[in-house]
Amino acid sequence: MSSFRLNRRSFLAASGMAAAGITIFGDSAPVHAASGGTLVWATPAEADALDPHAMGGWIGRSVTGQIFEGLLMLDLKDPDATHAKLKPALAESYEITEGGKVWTFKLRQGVNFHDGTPFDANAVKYNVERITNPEALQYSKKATAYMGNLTVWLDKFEIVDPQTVRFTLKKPNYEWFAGTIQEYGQFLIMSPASIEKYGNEGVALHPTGTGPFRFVERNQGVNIVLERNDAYWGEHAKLDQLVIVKLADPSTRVNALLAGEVQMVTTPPWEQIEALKQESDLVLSTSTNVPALWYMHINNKHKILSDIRVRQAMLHGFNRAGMTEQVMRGTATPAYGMLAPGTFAYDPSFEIYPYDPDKARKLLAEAGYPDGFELNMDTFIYGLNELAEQYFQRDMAAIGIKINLNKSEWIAYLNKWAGGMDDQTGLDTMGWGQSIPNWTGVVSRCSAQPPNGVNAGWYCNKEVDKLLDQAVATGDEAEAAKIYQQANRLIMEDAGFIPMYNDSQPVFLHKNVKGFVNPACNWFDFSTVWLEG
Amino acid sequence: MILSAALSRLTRMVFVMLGVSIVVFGLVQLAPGDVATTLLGPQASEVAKQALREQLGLDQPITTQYWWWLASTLQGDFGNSIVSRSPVLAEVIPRSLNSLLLAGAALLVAVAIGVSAGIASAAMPNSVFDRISMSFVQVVGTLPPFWLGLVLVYFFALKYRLFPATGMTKAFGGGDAKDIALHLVLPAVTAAAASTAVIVRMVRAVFLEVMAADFMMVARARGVGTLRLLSHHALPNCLPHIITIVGLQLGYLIGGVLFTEVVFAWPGIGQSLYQAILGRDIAVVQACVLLIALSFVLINLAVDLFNSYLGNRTSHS
Repeated sequence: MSSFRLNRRSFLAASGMAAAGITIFGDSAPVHAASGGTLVWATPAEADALDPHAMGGWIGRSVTGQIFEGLLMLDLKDPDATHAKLKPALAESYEITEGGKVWTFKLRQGVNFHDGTPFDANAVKYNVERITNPEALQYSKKATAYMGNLTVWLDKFEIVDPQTVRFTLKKPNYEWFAGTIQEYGQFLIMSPASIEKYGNEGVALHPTGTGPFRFVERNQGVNIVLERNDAYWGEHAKLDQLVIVKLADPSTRVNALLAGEVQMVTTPPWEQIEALKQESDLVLSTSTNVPALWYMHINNKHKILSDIRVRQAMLHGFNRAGMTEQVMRGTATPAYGMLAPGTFAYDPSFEIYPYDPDKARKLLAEAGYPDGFELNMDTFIYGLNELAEQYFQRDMAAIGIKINLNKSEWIAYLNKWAGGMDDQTGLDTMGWGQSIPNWTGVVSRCSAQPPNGVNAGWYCNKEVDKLLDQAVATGDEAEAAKIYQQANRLIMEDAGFIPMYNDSQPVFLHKNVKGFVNPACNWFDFSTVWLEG
Repeated sequence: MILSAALSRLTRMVFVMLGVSIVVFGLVQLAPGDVATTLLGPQASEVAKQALREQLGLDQPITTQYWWWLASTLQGDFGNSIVSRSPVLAEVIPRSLNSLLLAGAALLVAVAIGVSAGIASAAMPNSVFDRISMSFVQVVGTLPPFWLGLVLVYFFALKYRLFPATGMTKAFGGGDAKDIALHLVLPAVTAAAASTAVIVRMVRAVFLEVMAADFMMVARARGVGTLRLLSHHALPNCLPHIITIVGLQLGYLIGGVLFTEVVFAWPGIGQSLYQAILGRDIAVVQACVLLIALSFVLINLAVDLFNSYLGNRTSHS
């Protein structure tokens, strides 16, 4: 009956033994060490091109994050961390001086890229110039375009001595570096030799870094294969191979997991979570610290919505706790503010506008809408969010607001959203986040109103902007956190947005996958993972 | 005669493909959404987006873009995928071969089951077998591939674990002929279902018609047995019809395979097309649609030519 499965098991056992064999001859690690195996991870979408400077998306970062390293990396190994902190990687240490303006990095010695060439200060310079210097041969326009956070702030880069590099910013920004490794592009260090050899475009097919995994092959649209880098400078990864397969259809993804063809699945369909939890071979992993905030922009220029009582009524009328329980089956938490979890400034105790439909109706009546009104909402057909919007629609109907959902295909939506809402549209929706609280300003600053940014609901409060400026230049995190929380409180007292939920990043794993950490981040570090025989 | 027919059809084919190329190019231009915003994400500045548009040649007039595109396409250069950065053709050709493999396997299933069940039904018209097979075919033929595929996966991959549920090979360490063959079974059956139904009914109808012909009565009167009657007398006369039916189904299968690919994550051209549309990977969309159109046109041409060859042969004999 289960011959196929038996084959799989014996195959896994065999590969585990092969790994043990390597350790016997490789180094003195005990043979019984937790290690080995091939992890196959099914993703809902294809990873972007593997050129860290010119790529976007969380799945792509989960791949480049294994192959490449930055001077610093986000520490994704601590399952209990409430936010991902920076940790030394290609830099052994760093120092921020002149009130957040000057960043000096002491480089790690004796590190080699996967192609055998050494990592040094010149390699850093080569990478910086690829992004910033139009005169350089390796200059990539695309990289410049993708790396806004690096280029906008950077005034000057210099090699102080062969072991030290220094970045001078135009203005103080204590969140600058963390921003450069989670911008649309990421400031990770690529082997200069690989760029020379394959060219600025071709290098995406030969990604060569210093990380715990090295690139083996990519079959576009099918899979990406990585293997352990046995020459890694730090603690070695445990897996023999990491295979990332794209299974776009949600039921296909679930079937592959149930059939034992993959051992890890992200973005499982909400409606199947309960059923999958019953499977004895599967384990559900979530993290409530992921900076993935789903929210709605409120059009502050809309005739009806410019009345704050109406906005507050909508917030009071939305049963967010009910939605995360009934729709997301506990794989999300209700969101009450515009500061995402997974940042040092997040305050889990912050709650405003609790669910109170009676109060909502009262506010609407006060504002002159005792019988409610109709409102257009822009949204997209992509992923799972439709269910959340329907829930919202139902809650609004209960307080008399009739929401007309106007759906577009994702790419078309993205363009429309970035352009800001017109007079006829009251709400639109989006979900993202970064591990730095500065993100809040990206969607809420006055200066971020389209076309200069993506403040699609035209929210503007100069007081908030002042606080955000102040926070990013504040070196003490606890101090900065207070300022951010104050800004967040102002935004929410203005009822400027409708936060919906914080996604807890549900991941289903086969029970023989060990060491997996679901971090305070939207991507993963696979170096801690292994498969049990 | 055949040569001139072939020439005129080939000329027509060139015009059809030229028309297709204009439609393909135009459709992609009409699709909403700006490539630069798609690629650079919401935070990108207008300057950055403009730089990217210039690099991709998107700032040129549409007619210029079309001529550039047509000229390089005719030289076999479909450009680079903006997502993977690799040459489009190198990416799309292996995918179309995977699709052809699936379509071919599905055709084999459809022909094997369709023709034999059709003949058997015709040999025993209105028998219990005939009734059962006709109703079965009626049901199976109307099941959409994305539903049938999931049902097959539920029983044969998850419940009885006879076949794998997804992909064309194991995710790692597979890829030999046996591995691919195992992966091929469920998608091939799924893709074949609708075509099988059509073939069964057509073959049955064609055979019944031939069986009722005068020369068959004569043969039967001469005392020829049923089996021999079918294989030596009916089959040769039905063959041209069967080939036409099968040829038409091949075209249909290439379309149907695209849906099956999504359910089974079969790495074919349908998957590439779907992904490319979502990612606004214009060059890949164009190459995929052109290749699919070209294969339709080529199959039609082949069936046409074969028919006129058969027609010639019958009229000469």
